Amino acid sequence: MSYANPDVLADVEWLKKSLGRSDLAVIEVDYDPKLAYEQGHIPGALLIDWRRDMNKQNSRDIIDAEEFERLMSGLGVSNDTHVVLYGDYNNWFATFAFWVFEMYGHKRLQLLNGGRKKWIDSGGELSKELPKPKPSTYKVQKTDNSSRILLDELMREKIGSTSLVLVDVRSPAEFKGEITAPPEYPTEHAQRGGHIPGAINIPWGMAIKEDGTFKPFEELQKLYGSKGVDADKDVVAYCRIGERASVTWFVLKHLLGYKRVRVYDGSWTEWGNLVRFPIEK
Amino acid sequence: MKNRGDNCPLPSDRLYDLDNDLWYKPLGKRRHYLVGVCKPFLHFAGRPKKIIVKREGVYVKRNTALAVYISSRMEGALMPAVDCQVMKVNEDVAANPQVVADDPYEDGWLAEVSCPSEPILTEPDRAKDLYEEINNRRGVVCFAHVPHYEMRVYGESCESILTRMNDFMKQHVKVGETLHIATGDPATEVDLISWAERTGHELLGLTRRGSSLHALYRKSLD
Repeated sequence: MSYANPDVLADVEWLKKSLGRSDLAVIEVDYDPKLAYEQGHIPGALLIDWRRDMNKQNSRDIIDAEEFERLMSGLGVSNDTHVVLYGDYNNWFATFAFWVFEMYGHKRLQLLNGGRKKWIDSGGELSKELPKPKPSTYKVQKTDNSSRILLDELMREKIGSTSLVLVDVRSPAEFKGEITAPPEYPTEHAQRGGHIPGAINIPWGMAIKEDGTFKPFEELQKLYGSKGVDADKDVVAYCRIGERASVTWFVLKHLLGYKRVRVYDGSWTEWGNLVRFPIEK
Repeated sequence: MKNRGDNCPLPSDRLYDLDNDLWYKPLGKRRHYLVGVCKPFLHFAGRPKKIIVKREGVYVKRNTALAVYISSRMEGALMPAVDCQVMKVNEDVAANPQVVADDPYEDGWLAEVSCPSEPILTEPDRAKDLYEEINNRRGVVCFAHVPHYEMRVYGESCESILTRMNDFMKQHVKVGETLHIATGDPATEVDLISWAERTGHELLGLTRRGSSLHALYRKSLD
């Protein structure tokens, strides 16, 4: 069986043949462009620097609709541009960007299956040339927050709900509170280790094959179904800052077709820092 | 301390492609080279978790990967200076990518290649000067040993830095592995030295770069 919504994935071989199409914008979304985009990117690919471009700088939040419009216009992306996202760290930040693009209603949107790793490994060409996009006029038609849950909503809904399933997608060591952050980001951690009471641990990477692409539908269905994360549940995924959770959100919503999946992007760096909030280890 | 010299050596018996961080050692046959990774790149990209070198016989085009380099912070491509054919692959690299970090110029070679056209490469002396600029731009500090882990702590008090170092050593580092600490507080120097004495972890190197202080420790005890 194929994925519920197979159109959300772009294949590297298809992309190799499609580069240069005038309605296509390939965008690399990086946590650390110096180690990724600047070392070589898909020819013509634009850059979104996740920390700078996807987040507000004066409060902890994703960019608002107006800021998204400015970002898109600067990149020369129009409302009807076909956007393909990919990036560093196993596509984590590209998938987070996908979640934001969808929130602001971008229609023709795909994630490059396998990200940088797959592109490089399959002999894809890389370039260090910086494209010079012609600015466009982008207008957000409608904002849809249905894939996002904030702390106060989570608190309200968690109490007494039998259908809400919290999926902690971090590593088992983070889930158990043995470490407070992955070694790649040692200084971005919470005051306490552990997980939100009642959460189950299904690390994001369990949905991914060795080559960086997603596992087939049946395997994914088995993986989540065997842990009680079914299509009829109301699922909330979280991690440390929301980037890995967006990968699990993408799998559940678009590849498995679950109707109600949300990212709690406050994630552990919010919950694990709150005074008098319960923690399980 | 200048960011060159022995900690980031570039052997004099080979040539360098600085755009792609690879060294080329000319072999007996014309335009045949042994190819490997320059040490400054390893400090920049971090120790490899995996390196996938293209198979024997494969033609690798310029601007495509001769090898995929995967570390905890990079999914990158090691690309040849010109189109070339892979003649031989160092099988040890697939089995143990650490050999590239531990011995980049000898046992950690990647592949033997044959190039139909002459690659444009840089002589070692000139390459050393250019790498100094590249390292400064990349913020690379070379130690004798490529660290297993790196922690950058800026804008925090000395006490907080030492707490983070204790936590990191305890949570992530195994005995024998190394941790590179970068901090913006120059007053921490004495504490970085005494921390090694107090904890028993070996201080392998301490160097100042601009307003930053860099220390490398090897975990000695659990």
